Amino acid sequence: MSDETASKNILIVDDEEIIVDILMRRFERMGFSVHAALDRITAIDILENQQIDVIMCDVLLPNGTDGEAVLHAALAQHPESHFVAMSGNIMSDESVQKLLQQGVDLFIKKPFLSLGEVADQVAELVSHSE
Amino acid sequence: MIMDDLHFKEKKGAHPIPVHTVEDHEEPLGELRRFEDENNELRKELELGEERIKLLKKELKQANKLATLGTMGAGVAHELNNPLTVISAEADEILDSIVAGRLSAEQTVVSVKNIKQCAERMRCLIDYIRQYIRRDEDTSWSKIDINVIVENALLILKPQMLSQGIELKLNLSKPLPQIWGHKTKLGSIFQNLLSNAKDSFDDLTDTRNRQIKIETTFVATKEIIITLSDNGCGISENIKEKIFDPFFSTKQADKGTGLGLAMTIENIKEHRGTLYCDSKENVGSKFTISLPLERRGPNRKH
Repeated sequence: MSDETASKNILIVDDEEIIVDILMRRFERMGFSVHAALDRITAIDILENQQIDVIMCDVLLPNGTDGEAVLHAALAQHPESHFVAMSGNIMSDESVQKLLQQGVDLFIKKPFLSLGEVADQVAELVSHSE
Repeated sequence: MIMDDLHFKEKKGAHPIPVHTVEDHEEPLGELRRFEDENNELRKELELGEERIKLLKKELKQANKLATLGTMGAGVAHELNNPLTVISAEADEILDSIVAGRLSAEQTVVSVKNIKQCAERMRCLIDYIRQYIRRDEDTSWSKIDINVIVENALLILKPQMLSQGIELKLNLSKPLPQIWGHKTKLGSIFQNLLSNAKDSFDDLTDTRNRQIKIETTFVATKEIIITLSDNGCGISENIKEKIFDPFFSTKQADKGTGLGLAMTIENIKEHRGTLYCDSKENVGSKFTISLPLERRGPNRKH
């Protein structure tokens, strides 16, 4: 796994600092170069200035303006990158479908069933882009 | 109907008063009796009406409790899912590290501390919900710090506001003298008004700096004034009169039942307080609540 993920850049966006911290630890161990943001403005700033291969972003609340803004910035700056949306909200199948239609590659529900599986799924997304 | 009653009473009475027997002669006592019976009849109707109002008010309270719980539901799920994510993921971290044979004491301390912190957050939240649900059983009135009530209401609403890009400005005067009140009913006042303030930005498409301000002040010896203002969509002139009507709502069916403000008024009246609303369409709304300090029981008549 680490051969494929080495030198890959991941951006983690979540307003929950501990979640960012846990994901950072895990992805760093897997060989990713990890960038993190606790809000949309920082996330968009990173997207404009860094090479990013995969974005893991909490879509926050039902109207999801924050997550959407990051998604749009990601699509504009790095159309070849992968976008993983996360949410702890109760989301209908339609809203998840809508996210996928907007360009989200993977939707992950919080709490994660298994952190290891989540990390593997993200790594697989990146390895497929080779 | 009334005449029948009259005849019945005349027959049974110890001294029956003839009503129709004497022609061309006014019978003042008979007329008096008729009025009295009519009066009794009306009083009975009034009592029935009052009973019905009481019953409807009780139903309104119950419906509102469920409605607020419904709108709280989504927020609660989000607020519980985040710490739950941390707890579950940190547990995975520890387990995976053990399997990989690289578990360090340092990492264990970090993970366990995070787990503890998140478990505590969930405990606080569940405590708050439990208090809320038990509002009708818990009928006790006590001395209460309004600032604490405001802060509790923000426990669920603040993270939602922040993630919707709403700036929250708190100006709580501390220490505030305590007022005599009902904790959960007071809580529901702020839960409702602040939730409305948050929703007032939902349909806005402009880039205004979204703000909600909360201010508490003490007016010497008499009362506590709380103002809640937002610069959201405001209330249009043609619906201003209706906003306190039960079941009137501008929100979609899944977001509002139209019971929030009706119940808010009830709760404020019960605390002998007043509520003023000042609002301009597309500029914002300001709600001013005044609660008296004077210690008296709940106001049941209003």
